[in-house]
Amino acid sequence: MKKTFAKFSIYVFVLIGIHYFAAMRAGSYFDPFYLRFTTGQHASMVVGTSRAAQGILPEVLNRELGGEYTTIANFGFTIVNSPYGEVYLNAMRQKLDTTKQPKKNIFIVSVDPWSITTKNNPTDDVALYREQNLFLDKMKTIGEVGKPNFEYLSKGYAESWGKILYRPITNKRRMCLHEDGWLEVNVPMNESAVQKRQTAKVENYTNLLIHYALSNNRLHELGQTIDFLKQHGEVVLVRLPISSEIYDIEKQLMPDFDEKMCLLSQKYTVPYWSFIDKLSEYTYTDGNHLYKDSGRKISKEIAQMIRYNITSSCRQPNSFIGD
Amino acid sequence: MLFNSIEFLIFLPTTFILYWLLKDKIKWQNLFILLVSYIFYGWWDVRFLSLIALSSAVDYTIGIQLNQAEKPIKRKLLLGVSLAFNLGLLGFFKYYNFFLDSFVDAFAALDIHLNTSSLNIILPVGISFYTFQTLSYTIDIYRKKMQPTTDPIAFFAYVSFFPQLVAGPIERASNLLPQFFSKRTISPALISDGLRQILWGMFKKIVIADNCAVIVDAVFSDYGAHNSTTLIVAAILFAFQIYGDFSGYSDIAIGTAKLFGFRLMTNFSVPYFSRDIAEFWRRWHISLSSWFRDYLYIPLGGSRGGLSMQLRNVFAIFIISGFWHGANWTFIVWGALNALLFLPLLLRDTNRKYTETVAENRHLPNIREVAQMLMTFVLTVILWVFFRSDSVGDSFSYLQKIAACNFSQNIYNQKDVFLLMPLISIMLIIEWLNRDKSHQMDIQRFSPIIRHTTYVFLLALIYLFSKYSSNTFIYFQF
Repeated sequence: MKKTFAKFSIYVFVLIGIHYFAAMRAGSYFDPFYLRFTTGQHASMVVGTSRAAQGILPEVLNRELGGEYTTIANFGFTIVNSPYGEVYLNAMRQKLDTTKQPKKNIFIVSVDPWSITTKNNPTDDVALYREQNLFLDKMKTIGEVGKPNFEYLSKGYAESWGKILYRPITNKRRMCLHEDGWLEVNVPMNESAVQKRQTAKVENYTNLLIHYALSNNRLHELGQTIDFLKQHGEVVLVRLPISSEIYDIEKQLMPDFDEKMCLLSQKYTVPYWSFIDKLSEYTYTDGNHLYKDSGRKISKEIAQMIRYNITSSCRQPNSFIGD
Repeated sequence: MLFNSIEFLIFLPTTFILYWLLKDKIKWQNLFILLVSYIFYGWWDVRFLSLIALSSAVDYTIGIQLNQAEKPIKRKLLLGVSLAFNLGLLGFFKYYNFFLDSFVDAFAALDIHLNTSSLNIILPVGISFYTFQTLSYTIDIYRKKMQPTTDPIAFFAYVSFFPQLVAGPIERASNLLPQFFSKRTISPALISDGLRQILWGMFKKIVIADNCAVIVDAVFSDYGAHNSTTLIVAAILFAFQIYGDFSGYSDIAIGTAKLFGFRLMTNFSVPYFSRDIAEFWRRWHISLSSWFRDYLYIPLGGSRGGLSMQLRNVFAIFIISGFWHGANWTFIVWGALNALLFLPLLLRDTNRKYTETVAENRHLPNIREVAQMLMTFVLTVILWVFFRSDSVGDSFSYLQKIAACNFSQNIYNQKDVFLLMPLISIMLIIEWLNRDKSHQMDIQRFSPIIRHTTYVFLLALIYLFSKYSSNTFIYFQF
């Protein structure tokens, strides 16, 4: 009997060992989110959806602002996981380092029309929000340091365990999640490849138009997010650029989005910087996400705007106050 | 709790150790089994534990009453109460909305529109399995084939025995219940055998069924968008998915029971190596087929009597068996089509032609056997389309699209299909090598090197395809 148990135990321990090793080794190349749950809390953050995750580089911001501000990390996810709402706000609360810092804290809140909408939810019922019961909603160890984070692996990682082992090899050229939270995406950038991805994205977003609508609750939660972050540092609202084709779709989705953001900016006295007027100055992987070179460029611009305390890009702020 | 979940990985060794600490104390072991079985089941929905407890209590009481009753009318009445209660439970939770909707549709066809609304009824997991198990107990006592138990703990543990509670095998009281009264023994050989069977079940579920499901679900949910080649591939993959899923569950259940010193009946015996549809049904979901044979087919007269009676009995058993699977016309049609395939064999008295294992005492089948097995497999694949489709109309449309012969090399998710081919081949080769064994990972006869290489290989595959979010088993919905 002892021999049987000994043999069985060897198998069990080897399997546990392999799994532990895989989870320890898992890092930049295996999953677009994992490292955000192994790097601990941060006093300064970039928040938003995948546009922010791919388009704003903490490395550039930290280099430009390092003297004045605490180290910034990117805490953006996707439109499914991190639209503005209670779930994302609670995740930020866990991720935020609230201890007193010698430097200033800064929060870059990336906004776009999709991040304050709901899908197929005409009554704006919070229970039907798609981020409910996803990992940001379920996790309790968002701000913890060190690998492995089995809570994320069990609640957020939906792929097979085998991919923990071999994805770092197969993914190496396509995706890299940096320790600072920036998601670097490497895709062919020749004209035909970009055009193909953009056409698919435009078609997809056009189809999505009938399913999405403004959520007043999310808009309110965005305000709550700004209010919360303001208690811990400076807040700036940023609308990242997109291709003109995607912008046309967004205008249909929410023609008055900039006005809404300007109102928020005034209400909470935080600057709102929209890059919509400079769409052609950047390159995009698929029309919706900035390519990494443009990400570097815009991150530097945002850093300079923070440094020089640039005011909102709302053209006629007073016209929105209700005159 | 799912067998392929992290919770079960903790649950099983913990219960195993605690259970064997109670060695030689049969009553305490039974109480422990009852407790952990209720925990296992309550993991899904604690509310439905009351149904199992109620079902157990009713049949336990009726069993004793039946034994005491001497007048035939009273015995019949008691049996009727048990049947009404158990089938009523099943009928309400599983079939209420189906009958209501079918009733409304039938009247609508006559241009009479009824105002009814369906109830939002949640189907308790495993209800079809444990109600049949308790029914067999009462019927066997009624037939005086067994004595009722007066030990409620043993009986409640028998009904809720966690390895086979939610998806079988549907055990007979005459086989399983006496085991709750005898001393259980454990040996290295039994543990190894149980673990091997669990390993094989996990392989079939996690590696075969779950990977097939990805393609099958995508294709069946949008079959109109795919060419004939893809539809054929998806139908074949569903045949392997449902086999891997259900027989995988059965293997884990039987293997787990062995760890606790119990012997459950075989539920699958290499059904895809069958040479005709009759043999297939002797090898597929054996516990259900034999249940219907013993408690429905034979009481109806079986294969005795005239042609009309034979026809009635065959269609009755297959249609009811189909309906047992779910409240949908697809299952009824699936059952009826199986009856149609079975009928010629019965009428020609060749339905028991193949009772022995194929290619017995030979390594390989002959050409005739290969052709027979292929033909039977093709027929089952066609019928599985009815089983898998959302409606009968969808089934026919799916087959029509195949018949349109739009063959092209473009297969949906081609990379994954090609990945599955060697995996399914591995399963079939291992099953072929062990086709005459009680389970297909019975490899004790091989040298330790071969055995351990096999374990490592299977474990590696299971690990590679395991997920934290476990996929449920298909038969849980039945």
